[in-house]
Amino acid sequence: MEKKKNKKVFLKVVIIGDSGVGKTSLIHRYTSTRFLQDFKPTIGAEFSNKEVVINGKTVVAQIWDTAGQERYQSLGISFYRGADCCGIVFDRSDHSSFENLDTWKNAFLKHGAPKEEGTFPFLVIGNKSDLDDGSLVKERDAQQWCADNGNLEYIETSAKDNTSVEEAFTKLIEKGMEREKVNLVELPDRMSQKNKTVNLQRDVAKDVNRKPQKKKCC
Amino acid sequence: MDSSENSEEHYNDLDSEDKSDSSDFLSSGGSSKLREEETKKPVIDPVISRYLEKETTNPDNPAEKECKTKHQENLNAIFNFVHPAEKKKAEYHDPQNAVIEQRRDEQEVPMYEHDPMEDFKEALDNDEQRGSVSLDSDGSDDDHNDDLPRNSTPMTKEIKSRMELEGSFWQKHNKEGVQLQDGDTRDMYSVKNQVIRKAAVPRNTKEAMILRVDRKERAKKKEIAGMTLEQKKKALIGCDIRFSPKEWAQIIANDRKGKLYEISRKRISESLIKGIPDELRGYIWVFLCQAKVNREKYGEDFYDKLVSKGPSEKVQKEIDKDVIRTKGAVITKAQLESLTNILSAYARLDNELGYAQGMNYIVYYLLDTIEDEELSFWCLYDIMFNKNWRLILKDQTPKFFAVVKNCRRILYQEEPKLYKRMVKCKVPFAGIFSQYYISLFAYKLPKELVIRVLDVFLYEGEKKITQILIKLFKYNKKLLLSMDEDEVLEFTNNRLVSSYLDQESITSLVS
Repeated sequence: MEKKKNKKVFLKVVIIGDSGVGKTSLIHRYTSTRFLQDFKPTIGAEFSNKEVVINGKTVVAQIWDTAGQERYQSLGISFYRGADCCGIVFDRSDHSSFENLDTWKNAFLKHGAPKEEGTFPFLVIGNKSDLDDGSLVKERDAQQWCADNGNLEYIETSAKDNTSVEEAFTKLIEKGMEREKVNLVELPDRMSQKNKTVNLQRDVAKDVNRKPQKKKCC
Repeated sequence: MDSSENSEEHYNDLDSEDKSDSSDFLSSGGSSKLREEETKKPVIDPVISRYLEKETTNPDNPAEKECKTKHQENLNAIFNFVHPAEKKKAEYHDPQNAVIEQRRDEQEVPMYEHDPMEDFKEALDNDEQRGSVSLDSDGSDDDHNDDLPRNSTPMTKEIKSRMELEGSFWQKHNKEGVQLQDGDTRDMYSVKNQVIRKAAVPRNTKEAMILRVDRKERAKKKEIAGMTLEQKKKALIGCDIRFSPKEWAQIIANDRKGKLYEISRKRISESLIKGIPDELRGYIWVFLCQAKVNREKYGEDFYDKLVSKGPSEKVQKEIDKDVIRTKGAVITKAQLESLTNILSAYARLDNELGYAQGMNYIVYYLLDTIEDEELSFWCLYDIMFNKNWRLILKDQTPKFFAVVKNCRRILYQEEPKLYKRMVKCKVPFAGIFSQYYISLFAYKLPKELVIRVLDVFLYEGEKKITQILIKLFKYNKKLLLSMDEDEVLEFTNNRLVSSYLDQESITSLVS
């Protein structure tokens, strides 16, 4: 059991996007498999955990839900830091939220300050696909924007109909894991914490160093 | 209304109240004034008038009843006293008074603006109880200096003799040509002391006696309304100093400019912490926010104009989007409309801020409690401008970061172990605190807690929110220290408040 726990991977997933595009609904759909019609505007940030098995590995995804209003972007500093992947959501029935994708991406890169600006894993999510009245943001345009902004991946979802919500988050988590492959953050076992061989050696080394010093003094 | 007149009136009231109506807890306005006000304003809300008719003592609360009968006079003496500094504060907030003061400076100032008789009044009242001789009936005041105003209050012989001394003193020195300049508004005592120093009074003369009397008077002046600090403390021990519903009703009925600053701070905050009657909550909020005063300042139709003009299209869109989502099914159609109106009126008033998410929750509770659209708007105005909340909600949230920094500092000072643990767990302080500051606890928390927090916030402002947050961490200290890292994160984010939702713990939380 302990060995299995050891392999748990923690990922921080941040979901951003304009106010009212359905970030909270998406996350709620994914973590509790329900859809609530009346969601409140999110204040500050909230997060929920979801444990999933991807490619034989148990991943605990810490999904952060953020406030959509632009004025609170400066608060993002405390949420964006340390993110492993980021989902930018827009409302397909609201063109202005699509136009704001640029702002969101830049804000994330600015405040989150990830090490690799060019290759940081983003996923663009076009939500509310169920509201099909012909005036939705077209897939072509969205794909075009993604191609222009460093070949980002694009997915269309609907939190209401539960269309490809699971898929979107799985993709996000996979991307995050790829990024983390180099330096996987593994939970330190309690046993391993107790094994302080390195420290002991250091102590011995210090002692060895001290003794001759003392002799010199004497 | 002359402000000096005001203060004199106040002192008069203070004295008269001590003797007469002990059930009247209202401070400077005094019972007579209150009655006048009531007659002036025949339209009093039926809810308020019902409370006004009720008995003062609350039968449900035996402790309160006992306390009131026991310490009634003491408490009256303490709390009806308004410190001159507070009085000044009230004047300071009143631009009209400032204008009057300027004018007063230009006018001719009476020679003794400070009535010398006033200083004897306390002594008079004490002596009066022993049995009295009326000065007026005596007719002997004709002998006194004309500068001394006549007093209609009955006096003892002792005081009369003092008066004579006093009179002769002034007579003598006025003859010697020591006079106050016009416009000299110095305290009588300082002037008198100067005079005495100049005159180099020998011992065991009449003048020396005056000096002694003078010292006694001054010692008395240091005490508050005839009580020393120790007496005051004694009177307060074990005493419930909350306002009864009737007292609240009286305060509300007498809501006017500067009124808030005249009432004992301690009593208000104590009453708010221990809980106020639900039915009066809306009125009390209006009073605490000085909503009616603000409305008068801007004019009655100002709000309607703001609503009809409305904010820019973009802001209006944001508002409309959020209003529907604010409370979901709970909100009625009329409330929805009022909520939209208030938010758009505010966005119009404050172009710089416009609309910020979080305001919708605050306004919802204001509207739900006050049940009046316009007054709710003026309460919001007070929160945003006087309590400076607009700086917390403004773009880039400048004040919010300062506030969070302050919170962290306090937490570090008071609970260093807990603070280090939190930092180790990488708890984003700004993230945790944001919902509480931005929405004033109104986001996602049950109504019982929100209204109690708003009660204390509306009176004491930002510091109360900080206090409550620090308290939450202190209460949960053991739990937090025993948790794993990711549990700490989850707990601080979602469950910090959840275990403190019954009435008692709310009271301890907001105290």
